[in-house]
Amino acid sequence: MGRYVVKRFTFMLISLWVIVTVCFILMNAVPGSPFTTAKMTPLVQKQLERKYGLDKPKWDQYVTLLRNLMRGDLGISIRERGRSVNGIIASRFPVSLILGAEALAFAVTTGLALGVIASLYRGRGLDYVAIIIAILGVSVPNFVVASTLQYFLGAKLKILPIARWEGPAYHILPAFALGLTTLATMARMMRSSMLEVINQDYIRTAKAKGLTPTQITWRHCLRNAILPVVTVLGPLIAAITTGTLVVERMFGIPGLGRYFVDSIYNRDYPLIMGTTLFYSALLLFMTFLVDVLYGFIDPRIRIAKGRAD
Amino acid sequence: MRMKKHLATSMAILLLAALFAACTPAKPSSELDPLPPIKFLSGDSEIAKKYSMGLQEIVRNGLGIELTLENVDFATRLDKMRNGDFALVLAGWGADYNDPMSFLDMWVTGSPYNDVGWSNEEYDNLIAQAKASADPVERMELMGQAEKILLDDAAIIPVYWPQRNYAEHAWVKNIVRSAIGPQNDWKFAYTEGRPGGDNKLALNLGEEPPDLQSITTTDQVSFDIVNATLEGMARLGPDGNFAMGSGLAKSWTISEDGKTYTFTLKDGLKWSDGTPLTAHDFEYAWKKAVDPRTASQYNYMLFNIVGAEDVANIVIPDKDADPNGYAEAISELNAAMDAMEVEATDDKTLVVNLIAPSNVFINLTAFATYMPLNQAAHERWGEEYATEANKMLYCGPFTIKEWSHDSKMVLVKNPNYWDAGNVKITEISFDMIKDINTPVSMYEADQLDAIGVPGDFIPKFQAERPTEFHQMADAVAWYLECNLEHDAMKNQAFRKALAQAIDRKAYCDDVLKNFSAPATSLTPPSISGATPDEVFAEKYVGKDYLPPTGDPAEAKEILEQALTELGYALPK
Repeated sequence: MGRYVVKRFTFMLISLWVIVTVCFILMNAVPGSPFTTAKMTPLVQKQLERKYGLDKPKWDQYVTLLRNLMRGDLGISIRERGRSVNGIIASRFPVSLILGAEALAFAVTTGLALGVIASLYRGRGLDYVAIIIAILGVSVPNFVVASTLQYFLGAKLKILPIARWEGPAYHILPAFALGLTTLATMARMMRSSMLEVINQDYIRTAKAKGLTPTQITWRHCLRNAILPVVTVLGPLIAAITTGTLVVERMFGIPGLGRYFVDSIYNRDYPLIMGTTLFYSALLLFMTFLVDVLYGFIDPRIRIAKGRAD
Repeated sequence: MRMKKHLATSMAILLLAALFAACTPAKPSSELDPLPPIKFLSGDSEIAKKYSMGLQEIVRNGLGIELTLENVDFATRLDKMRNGDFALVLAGWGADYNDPMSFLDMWVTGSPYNDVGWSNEEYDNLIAQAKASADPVERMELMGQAEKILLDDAAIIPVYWPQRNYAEHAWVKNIVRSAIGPQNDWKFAYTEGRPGGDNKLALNLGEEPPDLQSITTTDQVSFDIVNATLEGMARLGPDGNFAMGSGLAKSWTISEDGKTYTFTLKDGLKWSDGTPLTAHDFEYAWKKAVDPRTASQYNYMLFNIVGAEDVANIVIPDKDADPNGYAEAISELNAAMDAMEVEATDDKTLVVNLIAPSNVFINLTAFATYMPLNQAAHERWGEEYATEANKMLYCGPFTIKEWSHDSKMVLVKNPNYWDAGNVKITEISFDMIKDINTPVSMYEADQLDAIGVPGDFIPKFQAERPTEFHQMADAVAWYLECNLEHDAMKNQAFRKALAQAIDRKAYCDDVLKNFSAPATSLTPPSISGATPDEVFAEKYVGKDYLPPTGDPAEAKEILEQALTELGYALPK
């Protein structure tokens, strides 16, 4: 297990280096520069390039970048003058993380419950209700859900705030809007996974042994059915914390999501590199974590991977 | 019999035609080259796509010419424009100051903004003369003549002048809105019967202000905050004038030749930390703004000051790579700074010498780049100056009490401001919501006091809130740029056909639908002439110089002429 972890970690670092390199190449290949603005004069553009070291040869910039990254220094934003990329990520990501965690908690609990209920009441009323919710959740984009909720619950009924990021009440609508798609995915996966497990021989055996339906569901069905769902949880966590862009924008939430996109529009090189690297690291780390977690849930995998080493 | 006769006549005509064709050097039209593709560059937002497709449609219907749309993001579009990688582009330009020069000197030969490669000696001379002229009327006349030359050559084809659509609740009074520089000034504002308490405002900035350092800032959001928290020699009043005494200067005198300005500051001016604000703070800021190490995009706003451009042009090599060159450049820079003719002769007097007389100089001193900076504070915080609320000093009507990045900014009244007694608003809280629909809901729920109204919501506001819905002219022009390197575009008649084919009025009414006005010349009507009440476009270029509806019949005629000249086949 230890060797496996070390190996996966090394691969993670190599992946990050590849990502940095590809990002550097792509970033420089896109037309324009951070100083491409309507009123830029060639004189000031040269001065700015000198100031930010962009007048140096590309290889020189790349080496400097790698050297700074090794020290954990992501540089200074060009568009938001004087603010460090480390500082921006450190102050903005926790917001995205909280919002993501809330959305995820809501989506996973409700989604799993919906899936289980649907599978137990297969073909009956509750199943259809769950399926309808799942289809709606997957097919209606979150900005439609968000603006509908903002308009009716916020502007018309005035039960919940329309936007801003202050007390707990301000978290409800964005978390709901953000979590809905994940909820639907969870419910759908859990339902089909449960249905598969319910038809297995060992469930029949359990029934034959005289266990109650509750005991069978909790001890045998759930534990087996949840495995494939856990697999997608890693990427989902990453997706939900990186996918906050639209919801953050609509609710005026000071998260990291907008930087991911705006930095590209602004050609803010240090910020593009910083956010890309940060999100990549997050995604890789989540996948890594799930792999390790998987081993704990299913002993067979731990042993198998241990032998493979 | 009759049939045969008919056939014979036809044959005769054909023969004649063939003979005629053989005698003339032109190829028969079936063998003519088709018009090369016309790459029409435009933005990639939903709105920009709609706007460019509207123009594509108009040109298709009017001339039978197909423009190839290329929708790219802002930086890519600018990059392609700078590199001449387009045939036609829809571009916009906003005025830096209230003078036609802000729209005209960009088209002189070799200007960095002249992407189309247009060059006209007469135009260049007129602009140079206007720049040197001290007579306000003569200047305007020269610029008017120049603009007509520009329009006649149709390398630049004005399309529309946008309007600003906004809504404010009935209790909001006296926010000063300006087409140029800062868009909103809250110094003179107050409220009457505001739910949630009077003399407070809740507004949406739309985004985090990218740069609040006055000498380097370039964007509209930052301009508004800088203007609220700092002040220059003058401030735009509710009457639309930069009156003497409206800003930090008590008075100013202008020399006989119009080139020397002597400003006298008000008594007892203070920064927000209590330190006295002196004329040295202006000298420091104006010199710092052109310092090449500052790399300020708007440094050219100061280039009329004697010696300013010399400072900006000094190239400073890398300190580590070339220590000797660096030391030399720095001493050269210091000498140039000393030679730059702006000087605080004492704590309250600032004397500045201009290269040429200017009737907009006072107007310019209200612009962000000209606002004062306290040297000690500026050097203390260095690169981090104005990145946090407590890393800057204020001298305007408001100070920043809270700045939660990307989320919220709270301005409060500045007790150290010279005119604090007349500032009624005690607190302004800003959201930074980038989405355009959310603020509309918040406005409807009385959570915001004023908003910009997005195009799609205009009919709704007109119907439901007619007294709260307002428009004002912007100092912006949108126009087509014709790249003169393009095989067809280099032909003047071809460009004129394009210019005449565009029904600007229909385009504004049916495509834009946001009260934009048809641009019948380049400089928008919000730009004054020789006096503030004159409209430059009407008085010096001519009202409806280009027909608002275009002239489709003439357009087709000119197009035929152009294509014959160029040797291209007529569109089907």
